[in-house]
Amino acid sequence: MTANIQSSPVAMPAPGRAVDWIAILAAVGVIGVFVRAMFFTPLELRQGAAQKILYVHAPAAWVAFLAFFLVALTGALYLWLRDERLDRFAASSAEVGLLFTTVVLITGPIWAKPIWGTWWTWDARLTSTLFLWFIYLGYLVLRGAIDDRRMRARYAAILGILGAMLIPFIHLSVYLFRTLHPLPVLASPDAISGLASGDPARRSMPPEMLTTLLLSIAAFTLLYVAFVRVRYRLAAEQDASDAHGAA
Amino acid sequence: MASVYPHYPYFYAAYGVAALLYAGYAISLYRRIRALRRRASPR
Repeated sequence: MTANIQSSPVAMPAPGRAVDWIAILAAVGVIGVFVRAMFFTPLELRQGAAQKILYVHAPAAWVAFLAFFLVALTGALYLWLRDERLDRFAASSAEVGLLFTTVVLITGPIWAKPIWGTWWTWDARLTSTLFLWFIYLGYLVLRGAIDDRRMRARYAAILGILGAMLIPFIHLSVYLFRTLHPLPVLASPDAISGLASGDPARRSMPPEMLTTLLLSIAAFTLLYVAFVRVRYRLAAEQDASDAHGAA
Repeated sequence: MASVYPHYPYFYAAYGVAALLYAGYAISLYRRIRALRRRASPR
């Protein structure tokens, strides 16, 4: 099965639409999240409107982690199966993940300035996230530097797997080190049990804010899917174009 | 309850930059696909 996929000619994909219904749904969802965050979510008492940056910052971080985890997963599967579709997906997910990490690294300092009094601090969470950004920037540079498709896919898969090993470290960095960055409001056992308990004293955030956060995570995950679908189509057409050019 | 420190400029700046990045990437994808198809089928 693997050999068939390896040796099969790359068929020219059908000229699909550049924008599909998932992209439209994602765009509507993201705009809806902005409207809900702006007009239908209460202000946090001490941080005011700056706290609402959470609804674009945290989902971007979640999507970035998801994207790079999938880069590692599909990279590992590529090393096993040698299926070019897995490499295309990894390349697409890495590029989109880098976009979302860029959003994290820009919206974080904008939130930090009014609350921490500084745009940036070299604490473990921020620094390791910056390293993650550099690793996947290097991943894309590496892909661009190697012409041989199989060699490019193999090296990129290894780098993609190694880069994703930073993700658990970044998540746990707020527990392992003294950092300015707050603890997770959702992705931790304490936060989940507090939210599930229904006890206002144990909740990390009120229900209105939690709903907005969950909706924003859903909307930005959908945006990730939409971007990766289009980026994958671009990669497939590029490969087909290269194959036709070489023939 | 009204906040003492509303910080709206930071809120708009963060959402504005994020929107520009996402929209910019979407436009770049569209332009790359269009350029590729134009090269693939020269008139």
